[in-house]
Amino acid sequence: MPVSPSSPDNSISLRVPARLENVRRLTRMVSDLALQADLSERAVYHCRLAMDEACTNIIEHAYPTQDDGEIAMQVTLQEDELVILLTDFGLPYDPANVPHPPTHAPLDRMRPGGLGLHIMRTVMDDIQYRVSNSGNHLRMVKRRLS
Amino acid sequence: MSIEISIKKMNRVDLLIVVGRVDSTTASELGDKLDKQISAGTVNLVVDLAGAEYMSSAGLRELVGALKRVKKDGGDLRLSSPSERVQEVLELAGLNSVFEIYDDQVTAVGSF
Repeated sequence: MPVSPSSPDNSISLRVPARLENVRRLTRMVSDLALQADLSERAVYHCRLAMDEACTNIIEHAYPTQDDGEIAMQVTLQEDELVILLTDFGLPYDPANVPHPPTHAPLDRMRPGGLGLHIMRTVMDDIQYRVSNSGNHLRMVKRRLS
Repeated sequence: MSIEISIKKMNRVDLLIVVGRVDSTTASELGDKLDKQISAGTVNLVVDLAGAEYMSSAGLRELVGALKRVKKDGGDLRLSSPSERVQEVLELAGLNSVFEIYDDQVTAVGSF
C-alpha cells in the first residue's frame, strides 16, 4: 500500500491518479483511520460519503478534460477530530460558490448538480477550500463527538 | 463484490433488488438497469435497497432520473427497505418527500 513510510500511525498521505477506480481506495483508507479513531459507525459513514463526493467532484470539475490529473490526500487523526485534506492540481472549484440544491423541491425542479456538495457540507463539521500556487486544497473535518 | 442487481417481473411492477455499494463507480450500472426496464415499457418500478449498504449522490441521481422518466408516462418508482444510513442520505438530499418509501418489499410491490 503506497502510504508514505514516514507517516506516523495517526496520519496517512498518498497521491493517486484522479480516476474513479481510485475513489473507493481513498475512501476505504479514510474510513479505516476513522474506525481506528473510535468514531461512531454513523460518523465513519459520513466520512466515507464526504470522501466519495469530494473525490468525484475533483474528477468531474477540477479535471473535466484531463485524464492525467492527480489527487493528493492527507488524513490526520487529531485528539478529537479527523482532518482530511484533499489537494488537486486542476481547475479551481470553490464549493462556497455552488448554491445549495433545492432539496424538498418538486420533482421537476430537482437538478443533478450540487447534491454531492450539499451532502458533504451537511455530514462534515467543517469544510474549507483554499486555492494556492501548490494546488486547490479542500479541508474537511469530522469531530469525534459530532 | 461491488454491486449486484437482480430483476423480478411481477404482475403490475418490476422489482429491482440492489445489493452492494451504489457509489460513483457503480451508479451507472444501476442507471443502465433502470433505463433498460423503462425503455422496455415498464413504468412501475420498485427498487429494493435492503442489501444496499451504501449510496452516494451518484446513486441518488440515477434514481431521480428514472423517477422523472416513469412519472412522465404515468408510472412511479418506489423504494423499499433502505438501511438507516441510506435513509439518512435520502433525507439529507430531501428525497424522502419525492419517493414513496416502504419498510418492506412486499408492501412496496403491493402499493401499485
